[in-house]
Amino acid sequence: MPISEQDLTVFHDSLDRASNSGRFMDVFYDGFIASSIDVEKIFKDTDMDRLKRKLKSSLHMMTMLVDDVPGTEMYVGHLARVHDRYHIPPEMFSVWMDLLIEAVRDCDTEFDDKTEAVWRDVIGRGISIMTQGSDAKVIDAI
Amino acid sequence: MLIEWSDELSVGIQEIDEQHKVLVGLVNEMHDAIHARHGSEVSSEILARLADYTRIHFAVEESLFRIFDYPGYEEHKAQHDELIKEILDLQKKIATGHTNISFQLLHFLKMWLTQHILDSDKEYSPYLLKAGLRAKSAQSGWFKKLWH
Repeated sequence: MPISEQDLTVFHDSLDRASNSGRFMDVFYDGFIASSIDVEKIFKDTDMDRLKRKLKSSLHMMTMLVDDVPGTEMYVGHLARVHDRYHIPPEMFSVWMDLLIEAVRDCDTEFDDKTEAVWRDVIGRGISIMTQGSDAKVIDAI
Repeated sequence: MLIEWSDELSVGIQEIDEQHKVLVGLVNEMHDAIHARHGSEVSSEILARLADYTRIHFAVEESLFRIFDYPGYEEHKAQHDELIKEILDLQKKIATGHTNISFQLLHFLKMWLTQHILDSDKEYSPYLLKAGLRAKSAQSGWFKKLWH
C-alpha cells in the first residue's frame, strides 16, 4: 500500500530535524556497534566516515522507495541480492531498524509515537525487500 | 536525455570518467530509442552493447583494484558480479520473449549507474590516486596513461 502524503511529510520533516542535530549518525553507530559482539566484529576496522556515507545513502534509498521513484524497488532488490552474498542474518536488519529509530528519538526534538510509527513503516518497507535476498524483485518489470 | 553527466559524477580519474560517460551515453541512447518507439530489436541491441561495455569497464576497474591492492576489492566486485548476472538473465528473458525492456528497467539502470558511481566508485578513487594512479591521461593506450 502506498504511503500517505501526510506520513511522507512526517518522515521527511523528522529526518531533516534528526540530520540537522549534527549528532544523528554518531548516535546511531555508537548504539549499533555496541549492540552485539557480532556487529562490533564486522565494523571494528571500518572507517567511520565511510559508514556514515553508507547510512546516508541507505536513508536516501529508503526515501526514494517511499517517494515511489521509478526503478528504486528493482534497485533495492539488486542491493538485497548483493547483500545476500554476505549471509547477513535477518534479525540484524531488525536491530539496525530499532537502533536507527532510537537515534531518531534522541535527535529529533519533535519525535512522538506517530513519528515512530511512520519511521517503522518507511524503514520496514526497505528492510522487507532487503531480507528477501535472492528472492527480491528482479530487473525484468514490463 | 535520462542522465545528464555532471561534475558530481566525476571520480577524478579521467580514464574512468570517460568510460562512465560511455555508459551514461548508452543508457540515454536506450531511453531515446524507447521514447521514439524504435521497437524491441533496437533496444535489445543497445542493451547488448551496454552489457558488453559494462563488462569491459568492470574488468578495467577490477584490474586496477588488483594492481593497487584496493582493500574494498571483494565488496566492489560483488556489486559488479551481481549486475552482470542480472543483465545476462534479463537478456535471456528478452531473447525468449518472457519480458521487454521497460521504463522501469531504464530507471533501474540510471539508478544503478549513478548510485554506484556516487556510493562505490567515489570510494576507490582517492585510494587509487594516493597509490600512484594518474588522474589525467595522455593520448596513449589506457594502461600507459595510468602510470606516473
